Amino acid sequence: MESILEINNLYKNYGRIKAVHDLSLKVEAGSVFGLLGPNGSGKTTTLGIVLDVVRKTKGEYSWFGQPPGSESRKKIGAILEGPAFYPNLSAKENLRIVARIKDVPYSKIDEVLETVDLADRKNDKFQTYSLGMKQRLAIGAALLSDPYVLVLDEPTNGLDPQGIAHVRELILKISGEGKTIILASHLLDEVQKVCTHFAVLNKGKNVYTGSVEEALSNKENVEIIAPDMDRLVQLVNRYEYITDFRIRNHKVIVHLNHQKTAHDLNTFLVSNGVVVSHLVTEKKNLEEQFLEILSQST
Amino acid sequence: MIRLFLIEWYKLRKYRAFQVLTGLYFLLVVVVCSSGMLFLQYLKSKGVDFKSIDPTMLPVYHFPFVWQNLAYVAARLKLILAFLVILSITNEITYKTLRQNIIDGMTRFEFMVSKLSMIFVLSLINTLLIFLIGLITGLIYSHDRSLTVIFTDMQYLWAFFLNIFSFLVFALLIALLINRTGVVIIFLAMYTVIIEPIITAIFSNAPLPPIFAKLAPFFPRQAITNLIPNPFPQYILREIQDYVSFSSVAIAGGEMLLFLGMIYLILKWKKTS
Repeated sequence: MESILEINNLYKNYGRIKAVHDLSLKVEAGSVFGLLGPNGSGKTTTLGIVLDVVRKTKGEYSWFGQPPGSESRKKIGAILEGPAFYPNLSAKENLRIVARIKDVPYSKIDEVLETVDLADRKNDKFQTYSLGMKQRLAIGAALLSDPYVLVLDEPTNGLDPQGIAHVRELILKISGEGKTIILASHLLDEVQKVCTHFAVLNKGKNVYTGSVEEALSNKENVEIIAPDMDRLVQLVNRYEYITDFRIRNHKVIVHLNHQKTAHDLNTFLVSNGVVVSHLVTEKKNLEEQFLEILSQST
Repeated sequence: MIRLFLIEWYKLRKYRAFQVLTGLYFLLVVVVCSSGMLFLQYLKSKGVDFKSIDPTMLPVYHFPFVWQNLAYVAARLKLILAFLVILSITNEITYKTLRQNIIDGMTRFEFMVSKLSMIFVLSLINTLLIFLIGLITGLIYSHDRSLTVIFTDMQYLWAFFLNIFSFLVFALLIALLINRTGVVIIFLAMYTVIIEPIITAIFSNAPLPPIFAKLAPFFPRQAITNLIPNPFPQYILREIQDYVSFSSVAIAGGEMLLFLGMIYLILKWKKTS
């Protein structure tokens, strides 16, 4: 698959602070790539470097397989650390400036304002907008040049639940059109809902890269109660497809490995004479995964 | 080039401070430059005379003197335009739009050219305005209206253009160095009105080694001011420098190029986190 962004051994030091330390990653075309990490883990710094507004200490990066420059930036739609616009100009006037910079015809402006649902406020000054509207305008500006890739840094930061849902829908809609999206966030729920791939940064290092599906699919927890608990525990102990189990609140909680599902376990129990009275399966969520990755990396 | 100018134009044209400051400035230029005769009449009514000459008889608006006189007077007002340039730079930093412009695909050089193109156009309009005022007032008050006399001493208009342009470039540089709107405005005003005049006065007049007096014309404000020598002492029969000296153009022009280079380097190195 074609790579959109490739970062190799990137370093950034602020004095003695290592903001980015030997970071490498690759974003494939068509993916929605989540850049995860606690606050201060180097997400924004990394994006700032690849967008050419933060100086790297050393390392390489390339967009679309080419060395970085203003021409490749025109093919990227990006927001870094919140929307940045001229407060005294309207949405339309602000987008005119962006269109001039990106060499895009003005006719695109109304189109993107429609997409981000700001058409009816397009003549109002930017400073009168709510945070959600500002964030949407920024996404609109990023979409203006019909870019190959969209870089969004904490796009739902500070928004109310409705605003978050609105932006999330927008991201899904855009990725549905086949665009690559790079999304930096510390909201795991957000990444789980929209991303296909993700990387976890911690203290400037890339500590995990993988697909969201993979990270979640092979981890199933099953919660079981049976009338004969002792027999149940015996059987579970014998079952070879578990990674571990524990007993909590009079329930047996089983962590299956990726080869078997709750269905298989239940079949096994029944065929051995235990009929369960309670069985709940729960997929491990990204939050647990994330905390696990972080605790392993330190 | 036109694209870069238009980008800057779209940034500014709906900006209230831009409208107010440019409007105020050009109005002030027109009023100040064309009210010389009123001023002389006022002096006359107060009984002032210049070596027993009626003040209104002084040839302030006569060709070719009008060019040096207007250029000198109008060049006193440029601080207002400089405030505008400062705002247009510090706002870009405060609102993070400089950074967004670059993310959107502008090069730092393009950003600089975009800002300079606006400064160029403002200086050009300003110079044309002085030309028009000079032409009109000159035609009203001059006795000799032959073309050769009218177009004598156009050198002051070129000097005026360089004066305004290089001062605005200087303001741009200070704004990029300091970044905080209020601080830059206060600093530039203090520097040009108080600090540098005092330093250069000390350098030129105090009993210091002669090297100090030689350094005085190299201070930025002094270099720019020296482009257009003060013409008014001639009206009390003192000797004046009635030409634009090559050395002043060389110093002011050279410093302007230096400032431009510094602006480019600052923009190139100014990568914020």
